[in-house]
Amino acid sequence: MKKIGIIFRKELKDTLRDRRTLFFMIVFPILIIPLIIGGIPKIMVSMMEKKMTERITIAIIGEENSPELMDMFGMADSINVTFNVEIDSIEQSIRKKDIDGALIIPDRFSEMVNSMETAQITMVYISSDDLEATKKRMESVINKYRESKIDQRLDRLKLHSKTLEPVKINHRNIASEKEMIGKLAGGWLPYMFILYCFMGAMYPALDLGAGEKERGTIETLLTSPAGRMEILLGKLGVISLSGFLSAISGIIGLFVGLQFMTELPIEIITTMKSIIEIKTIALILSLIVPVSIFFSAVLLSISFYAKSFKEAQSLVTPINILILFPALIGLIPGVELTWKTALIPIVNISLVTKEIIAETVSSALLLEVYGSMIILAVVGLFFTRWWFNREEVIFRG
Amino acid sequence: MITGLLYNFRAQWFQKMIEVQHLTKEFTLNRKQRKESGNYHHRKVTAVNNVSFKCVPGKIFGLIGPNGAGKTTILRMIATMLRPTSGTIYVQNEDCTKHPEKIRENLGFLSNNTGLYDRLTAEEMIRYYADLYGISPSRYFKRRKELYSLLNMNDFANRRIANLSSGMKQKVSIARTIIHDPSVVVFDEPTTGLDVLSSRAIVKLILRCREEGKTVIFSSHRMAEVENLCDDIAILHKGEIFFNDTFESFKGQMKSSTLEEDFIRLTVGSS
Repeated sequence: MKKIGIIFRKELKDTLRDRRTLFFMIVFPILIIPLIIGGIPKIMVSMMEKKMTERITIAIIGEENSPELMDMFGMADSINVTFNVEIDSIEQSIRKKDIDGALIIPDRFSEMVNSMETAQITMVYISSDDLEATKKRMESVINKYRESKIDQRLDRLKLHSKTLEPVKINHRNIASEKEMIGKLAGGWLPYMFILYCFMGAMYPALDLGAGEKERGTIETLLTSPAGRMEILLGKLGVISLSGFLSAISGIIGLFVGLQFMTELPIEIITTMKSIIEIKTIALILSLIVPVSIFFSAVLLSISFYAKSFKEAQSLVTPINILILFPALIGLIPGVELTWKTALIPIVNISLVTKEIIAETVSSALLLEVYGSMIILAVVGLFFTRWWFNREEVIFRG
Repeated sequence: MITGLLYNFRAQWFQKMIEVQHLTKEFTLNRKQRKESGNYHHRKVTAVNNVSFKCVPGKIFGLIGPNGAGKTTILRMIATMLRPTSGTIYVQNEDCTKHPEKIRENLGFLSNNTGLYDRLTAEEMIRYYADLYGISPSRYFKRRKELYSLLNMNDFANRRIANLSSGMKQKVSIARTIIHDPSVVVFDEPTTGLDVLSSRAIVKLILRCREEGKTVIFSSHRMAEVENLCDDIAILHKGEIFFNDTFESFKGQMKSSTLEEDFIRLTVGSS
């Protein structure tokens, strides 16, 4: 036990002095989550605002067929109207960016609208265009025109607007805000924690296994009185701790991100902040412990097998996908935590976290998840011990 | 009384020695290695075949042979890193396969690779191994003082290993090897790839170990080094011992004009 402590302290010191590990363990999760949940929506909103207010040019073909609609386009903010484009050259002009979009008003348009018929109008645009701003802005003007025409028709027919709405549905969703967010966005949280746990454990594992082999220090360590299991546990302790700290950094990042998340309604932000309460976080973190031990065991086994740090990196890449794929399953709507899914590693963590956030988790299923993850961590530990004792792995030539 | 003293001395002497008996080590080949060997159905390769020798305290035992002869495999088995396929190794009367941890407590191992952690300081590196060997703080500080002045390490003890020159690193590696004052020291081609100054430090260490009555086993393929250091030798080729006696006896049986030529005659001539 004493030797495990000696190895653990040395490996921890060595790991904390590695800038690359520190970056992936602490800096990256703290920076990236705020950037994803706070920064990206902010950028998208400001881009949308810019696109919706910047000046665009619309070509109108058949302007004489609806002077009323023409007036509306003329009065719309930041929309230039041009009539100098031929119908055959519309697409070419849009692609050349001479115009942003076009509107084709057919003959007898006003006549049909006024005689209570349905008149057709054609909008031409590129839908792959930035955030479809051109389409939305043309639609907005046409919708105003349509609404005014509906009002006129109702007046002419002496009808009330209620005539068009025989049934109105009143929604009463009994799900709490936490349940809604837990089920909708809850899948993202475990995915991120699992991802960070894996990434945080990855670099120390590669360094403490393949890195030691590459530097020749493993040979020296194996000639010390420390037993293989003691060496293994000392190393696994540091790797698991790194994965765990990385997941905690992810939670800190989430909290920081929420401070910058001003675009969402205040109720959602308040609910999301209430998720970060001690009980919820403690439960999620307690689930991360066996996960980080399991990840450490898998990563260290691969790392011991590799001859060099570089080989270990290339071997870990496919494992990365293999381990993170189940975490993505938690994001699929409709996949629920049952006694069967509670047994599937990683998937169960993803699903149970959603339930914890929604405050709908059953104790029996939670225990089942703990049990299955602890068994998995123990199996991983024994496999790594067996693997580490194999000469053809440690001295693979 | 004299008989009693002689008996004690003899008992201590035997306790410190290394005795290798009918040692064999086979490695399982992987698919790629089997393809490369030219015989795909050959699943195993014998790296060491029925090797026996003794290393006694106060003498330097040289394990001599070309690359691939099986020297490192034997030394790794003595240091309990590898397990023999058959045969036995006794280090200080302990069976390597039964009590590996006990053997390692009294063994120092040094190869040409310094085996140091770049992000630790020289002091941290040596302290780490002292702690693993279970040395008490008072003994550690005494031993550190001795080794630091012997190796002139005081100036760079608190510098990170990554920032040390190769000579300094070699000194740290030497201090790490003998911080626990082992009675058995294993040197696996310790001077390969080193410059003259670093090689000299290693040679000095080997000679000092002999003076202190330690059991020293050393592998090399450099005949000049063997001539300078070894009392007893075993010439190894393709996992088998071709000669095992004193170095003087080897010189007496030489059929070529130089040691190098005779070594080549024995090894290449046998293949």
